[in-house]
Amino acid sequence: MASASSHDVDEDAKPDVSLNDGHALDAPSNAAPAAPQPAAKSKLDAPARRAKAEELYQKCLEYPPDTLFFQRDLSNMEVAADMSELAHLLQELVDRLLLKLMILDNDPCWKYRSREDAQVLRSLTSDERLLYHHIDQEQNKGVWSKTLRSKTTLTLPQVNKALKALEARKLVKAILSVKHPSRKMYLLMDVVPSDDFGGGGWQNDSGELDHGLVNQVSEVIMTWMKADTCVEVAADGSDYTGNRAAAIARKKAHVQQTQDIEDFPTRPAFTPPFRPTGKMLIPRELASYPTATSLAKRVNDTGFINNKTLTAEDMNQLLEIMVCDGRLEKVSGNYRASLAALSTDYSGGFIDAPCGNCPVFDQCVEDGQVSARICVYFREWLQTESARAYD
Amino acid sequence: MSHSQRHTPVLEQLCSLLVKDYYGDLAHHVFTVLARYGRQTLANLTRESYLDRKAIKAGLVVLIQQHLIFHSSIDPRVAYYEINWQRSYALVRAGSMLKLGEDRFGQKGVNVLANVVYLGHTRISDLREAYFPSPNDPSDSDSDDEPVGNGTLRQKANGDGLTNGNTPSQAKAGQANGLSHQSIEPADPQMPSLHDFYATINTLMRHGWLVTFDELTFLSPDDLEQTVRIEAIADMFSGKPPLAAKDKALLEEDVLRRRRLVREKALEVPAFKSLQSSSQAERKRDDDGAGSNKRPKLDMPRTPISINDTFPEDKLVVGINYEKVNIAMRTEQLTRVATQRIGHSTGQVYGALLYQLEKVHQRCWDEWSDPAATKKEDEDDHEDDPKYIDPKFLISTRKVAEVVDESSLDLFYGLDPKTIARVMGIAAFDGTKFDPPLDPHNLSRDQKVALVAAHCSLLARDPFHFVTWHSKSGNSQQYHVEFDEVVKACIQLEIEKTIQAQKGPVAVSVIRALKRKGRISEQQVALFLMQPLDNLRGLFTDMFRRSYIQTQEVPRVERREAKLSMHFMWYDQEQVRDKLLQDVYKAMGNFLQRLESERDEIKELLTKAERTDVVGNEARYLSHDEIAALKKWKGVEEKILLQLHRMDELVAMLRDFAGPLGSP
Ligand code: SF4
Repeated sequence: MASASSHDVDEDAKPDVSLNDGHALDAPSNAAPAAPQPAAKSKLDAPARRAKAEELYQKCLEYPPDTLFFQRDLSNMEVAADMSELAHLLQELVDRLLLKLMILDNDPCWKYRSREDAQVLRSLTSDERLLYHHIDQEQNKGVWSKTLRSKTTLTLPQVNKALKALEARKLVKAILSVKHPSRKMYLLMDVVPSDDFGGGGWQNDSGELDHGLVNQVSEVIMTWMKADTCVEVAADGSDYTGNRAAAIARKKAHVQQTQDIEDFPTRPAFTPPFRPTGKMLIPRELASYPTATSLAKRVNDTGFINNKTLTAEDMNQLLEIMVCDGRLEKVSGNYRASLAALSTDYSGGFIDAPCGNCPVFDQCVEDGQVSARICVYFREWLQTESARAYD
Repeated sequence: MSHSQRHTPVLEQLCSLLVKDYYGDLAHHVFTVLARYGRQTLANLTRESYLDRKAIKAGLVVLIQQHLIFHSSIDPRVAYYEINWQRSYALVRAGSMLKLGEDRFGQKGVNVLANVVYLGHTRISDLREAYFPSPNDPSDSDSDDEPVGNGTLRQKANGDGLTNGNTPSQAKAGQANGLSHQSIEPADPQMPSLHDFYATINTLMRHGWLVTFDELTFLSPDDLEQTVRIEAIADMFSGKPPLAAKDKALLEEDVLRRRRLVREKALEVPAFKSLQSSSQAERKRDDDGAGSNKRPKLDMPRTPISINDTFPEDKLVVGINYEKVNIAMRTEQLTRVATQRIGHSTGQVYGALLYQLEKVHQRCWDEWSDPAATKKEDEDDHEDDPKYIDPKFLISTRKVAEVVDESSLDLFYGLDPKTIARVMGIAAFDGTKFDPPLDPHNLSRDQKVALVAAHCSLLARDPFHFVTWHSKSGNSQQYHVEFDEVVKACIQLEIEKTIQAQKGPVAVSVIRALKRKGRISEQQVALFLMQPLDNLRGLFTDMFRRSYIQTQEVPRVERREAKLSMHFMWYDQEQVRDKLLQDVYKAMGNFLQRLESERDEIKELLTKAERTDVVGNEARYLSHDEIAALKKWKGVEEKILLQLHRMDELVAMLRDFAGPLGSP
């Protein structure tokens, strides 16, 4: 440890370029105190850092727009050597407006901007940039134009002009709030509004929930999700070898030969779990995660729902439900098909015991009217038909 | 009150049933009086009980020997007794403990552990005496008049008070693992030599499974706190309790430090003189926590030890450290969850990874943790880096690959064929088969590391975040495990499985929706789940009654009418976790009661079957029906014990692997 740290000191002694090199064009970096701050000193010099940042950005671009990257995902890309270097790279990309920092469920996460978008942002006027920043801060809650005015010192015409310009450049959008139907709320273009803004896409003409539609769409989505985020392979797992029998024989011989060695793991040899379909789902190595926006577009483009257009908001609502019912799972803000539905294979000692699902659980007390000693559920479970089973 | 000493009526009932099942009526009686009245003196105990002083003392001896009660004589005039709830509950865990010990330390290790469990705590010399009796055994027994407790550290391994005719039923579960609780056979075939004996104990101590006991170990957390507080005040403020806020804070810090010190001292392993001549290299390999890749080897080069040799370590008193057992249980259970969620091979890789980390963790979570412990002063580099992780908690994919045995594990299983093709350096995969065929049991070192890394990446990308990537090191990856987060997700899984079984899948959706949205109105829940509210109302009431959700009625108008109010609801994971824990305790209590009543049913026959003339000659003395009834009883007993064991696993997950959880 000691030798390693002395080495670090050498590196740290180099002039630090990262501090004067930063050019904060945008405000988000101060909007998110929870984000990891790069330690004061960087081990990389500026060109090296820039190159690595570029590499990280390129890796992000392999994913669809709107993908949320959490620190874990970014570190899993294995560009940065460690967390502190990662923080430096992220800061660099945020400064260059290529990444956007967000907070989701109290965790910092990032989205990328295309180079064009970043360019557009850099070209905004100061009024526009100010409003953009305020709208950005509100994330999915949206902000009312009046609030915007009170938060800035701009006049109404100035605000309206700037908002128009932002809308024209497709940077922000206006939607109507459910709570206050008369207010126009502004959100960034790529933000899916919170549930206060019911999309309304799932209602039929008479305003009732269209279950048929919900089911139909969710099934299609499941198919796509599975295809996009997972691969399906044979569940017996040994097909890869092409010569299963020989492999098994060799394995057996090996196991017998080494049985007395006290090595870990001393677990039973591999037996593929039984899967009725003969197939199993495996997460893709490089998944492209569909987003609410991309899915809504795909559904609309396919045109299989007649005279209706689903918005990203509608889709988001559906995806959340699918997470709640366990068909999808959320990995760091992205959706993927669930590999394991709430499995009841090993349901646990409580619920598969008589008491775990007993209608009179709360009434059951020692020596009471209902008690374990005279309990009929127990008798069934133990298969001791009569109270005097041993006669 | 210390977190570990928290107890509720259901836990009290469960523990007293356990004590009764293991140690019989006398110990049970003393235990229940203590449970009812809390910390007591012997005099008070006698007053509150119908037993005489001598009987109570006998009961206390059993309980103390088994560490089921604390005793303190801070006040030199009188000793206090108080139940040790954690240990009392742990009676039900003895079977699992031995199984886990066997997996880790083999036959010799589990044999020693079983004997220590049986004896409660023991001086090493006494344990040795039991395995290898010296030619002239001075078997003096403790006198009746000695104050209870003070003499316990000197009790003989084959001391009295333990065998009161009631065979511990859980011990039978242990026997299934090839253990005998009845007595320690001299010259045990499991323990061929004295050298083996010392080496085994040494290994168990270095792995933290056996810890040394001293007088302080017998103090309850509160008494210990008081003792070290008095010491601290004496040392720091010359005996006068400080008044200034700053001094008070200093004192609190120091009290905490002293408590930790006591704990650390119990974990210290002195150099064993008995093993000194054995090869240093052997020990080094075993010492090297994450570095050791095999199960600790217990067969070390022999140094002949004569029966007359004695060593300083003989004087140590040792007992089981359940904190380490919890870590082993955590490894098993997290491995199982990963296996279920992702797949067999990935689960096995995870198991190997967790096993490697076992030695560097002293406990699952720390009630008295040191806020500064994660940062070492000499490494000011990390001072202001909240993400800094002590390198000893990191594990590289290379290390994991070293322990994974590819001859019995198909490392291809559960990986994207593309990954496999990339690692193996071939291009073709036609959707079902590789061409040319690949053999998962014949891999180069680098291929193995890469495949293990791929499994780790699956673990990292799972919503449970079983592992967390830390950094690159060479061409392998370093990971660590954010146990609190993983365990929190697993607890949620247990809660959801329970609710699913009891209330159906929609109830689980409701819980997840609330977990996601926080406190929202019932209309909003319905909207969120796209369900008509009227369909859900009954379910809400049901879930509320079982305390799975909390609700609050907020009137919208002056008149307080349910119809005109807003009904808010939310989900509190910590509360539901505790509720479920209490339910499981209660169910376990029910199981023990049932076990007892089932046993009562067949009591006469059992007594007959246990008669010395009958044992071994069942066919001659027992009728056909009697043999059938006995067989049936065995089945019933086994089924109940197995279920108890599984409920205990749930208790471990809910209670022992993580401290209080933050908000959902
Ligand atoms: S013992 Fe019987 S009645 Fe009591 S909770 Fe269990 S199943 Fe229900």
